[in-house]
Amino acid sequence: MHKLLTIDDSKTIRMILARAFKEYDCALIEAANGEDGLKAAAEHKPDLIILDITMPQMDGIQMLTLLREKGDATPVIMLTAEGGATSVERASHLGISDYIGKPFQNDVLLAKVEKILPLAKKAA
Amino acid sequence: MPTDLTEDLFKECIEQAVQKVFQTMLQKKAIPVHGASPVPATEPWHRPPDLAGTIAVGNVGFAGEISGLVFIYLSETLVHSIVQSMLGMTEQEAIEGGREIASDVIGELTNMTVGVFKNRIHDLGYPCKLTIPTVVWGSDIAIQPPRGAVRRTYIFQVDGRSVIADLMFKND
Repeated sequence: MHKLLTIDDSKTIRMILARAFKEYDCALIEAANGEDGLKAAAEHKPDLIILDITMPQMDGIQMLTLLREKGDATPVIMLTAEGGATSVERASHLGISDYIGKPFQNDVLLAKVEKILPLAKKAA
Repeated sequence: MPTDLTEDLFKECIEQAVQKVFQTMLQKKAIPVHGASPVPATEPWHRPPDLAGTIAVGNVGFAGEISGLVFIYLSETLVHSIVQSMLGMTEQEAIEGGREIASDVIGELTNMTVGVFKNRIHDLGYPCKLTIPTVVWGSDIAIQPPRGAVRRTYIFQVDGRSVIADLMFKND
């Protein structure tokens, strides 16, 4: 079973993501900021991280920088309203696998995740 | 060379942002009410009657080559509908979720709307970053623009209810 770590200070986004992956055979781990995200990544060793940029305490760029400095190469999809060229460029240099701007449709999100991780639907 | 930010361009950017977010996340149409021009800062700000009761006001700022704030006003009734649509909840679940979940939903809706707006003006030559959303609730909320700020108010109808996008920015 794949493990997905979602890092976003918005509980709404975390709930939307949980619903999007509800039918799929994967375990979702949540974190509300970059600091907790780093701890969760170290503890759970997810197969993919879905990461917001603008968060309190530690933003997504800071979190990703520290993650990569630790030698963690877990694929990351950036999911953010902060779609400015500077943020995306900084994230690209840190090796993100893909980027999704908010607002987003679930099918777009799932298609991008499936490019990185094969998703299997849960048995009925 | 940045594009001149005219009234029409601001209006286009805000309208596209509100419409895109409501359509993508909620499958709802946001229809601009004041089609020709926004309510200028010099006119009294008349709240539509359906926003007379308890309302939620989401706010996100943008700072950089252009700085300002966007406030999104919604009635409590529309907020419950938005919570249901966004989170796949029943009406009862949305009500039981209370202000905490409603505030989070409206904060994220505002974040996305101002994000789309900001990304558009960034592409026009005005890079800026977003602030973290805040949401306030009340039945008699009036927000005064900072001294020297330009204010433009845009009114939409969503499911027959008013949504207001109130833009304030520094006119440097």
